[in-house]
Amino acid sequence: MLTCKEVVERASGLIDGELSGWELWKMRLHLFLCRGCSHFVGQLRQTNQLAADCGARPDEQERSAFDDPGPQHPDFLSRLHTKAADRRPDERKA
Amino acid sequence: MANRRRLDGDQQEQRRSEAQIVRQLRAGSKEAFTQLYRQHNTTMLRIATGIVGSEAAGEETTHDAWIAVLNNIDRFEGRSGLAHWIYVILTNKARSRVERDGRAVSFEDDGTGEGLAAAFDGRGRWKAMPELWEERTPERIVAGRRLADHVAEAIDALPPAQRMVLILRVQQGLSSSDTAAILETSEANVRVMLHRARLALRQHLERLT
Repeated sequence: MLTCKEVVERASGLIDGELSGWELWKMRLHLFLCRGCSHFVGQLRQTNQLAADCGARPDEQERSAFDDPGPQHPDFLSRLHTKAADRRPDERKA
Repeated sequence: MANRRRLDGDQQEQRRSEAQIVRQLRAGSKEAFTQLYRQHNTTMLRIATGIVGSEAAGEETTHDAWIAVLNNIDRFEGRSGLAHWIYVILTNKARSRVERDGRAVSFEDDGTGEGLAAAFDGRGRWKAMPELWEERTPERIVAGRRLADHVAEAIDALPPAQRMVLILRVQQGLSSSDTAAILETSEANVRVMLHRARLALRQHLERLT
């Protein structure tokens, strides 16, 4: 039987689907019997989802910076746009 | 099994969409570049800044990486995903910059984030049982701010290596092996750092209740 400390150490493996066989069975058994660990794994799943959502948020500043480059990086953005738009086949081989 | 099939379907769809973007970039499409830029630039800035150590140098490194992406798009063979390829270019640029400055780059486990050791008794049992959290959404207001803002702040406060692993694995959805390859470290180390990053974020969120 795993201890609560061992369950916590393996919790990311469970969330990422990296446990299998005996390891997975021992985790499930412990989580079935232990309310604290079950709550902990739920908390870690929520934490992971919030971190993922945070990365998926559209970055409004980035969007507006691209549509209207403003004073900060007009040279960079126009240079990149020019590069993206003006590449010719003979240059691409170089 | 159904989940696995859906995952494979999603991956195939993503590969098709990437192949289309690559074709458009090679043809010089401004729209394709804009789409790619919007998708990755913020993440690239975070990663570059994490490696080179300052925002200004991180911006310069990201700009250099974009130029390299455009210059080398014909060499992209599609063996790895486009995001993987872009982040390899970015981290190589960032490494070169740090080495030019005479510093060392390492993404090995930095040994921080053991935070929960004190939560257990001598037999490995909880001293105080964790409580059930109510549903937390990014838009929920906690302590006067959106939960998403608290999470973003906590991610920024992570040690750089943990932050990069979290961004690549959780936010960009790259595999442990891709993340390990990009950061030139082991998959085991990626797993350890991701776990520590999650524990640190969880502790931060717990303090908000």
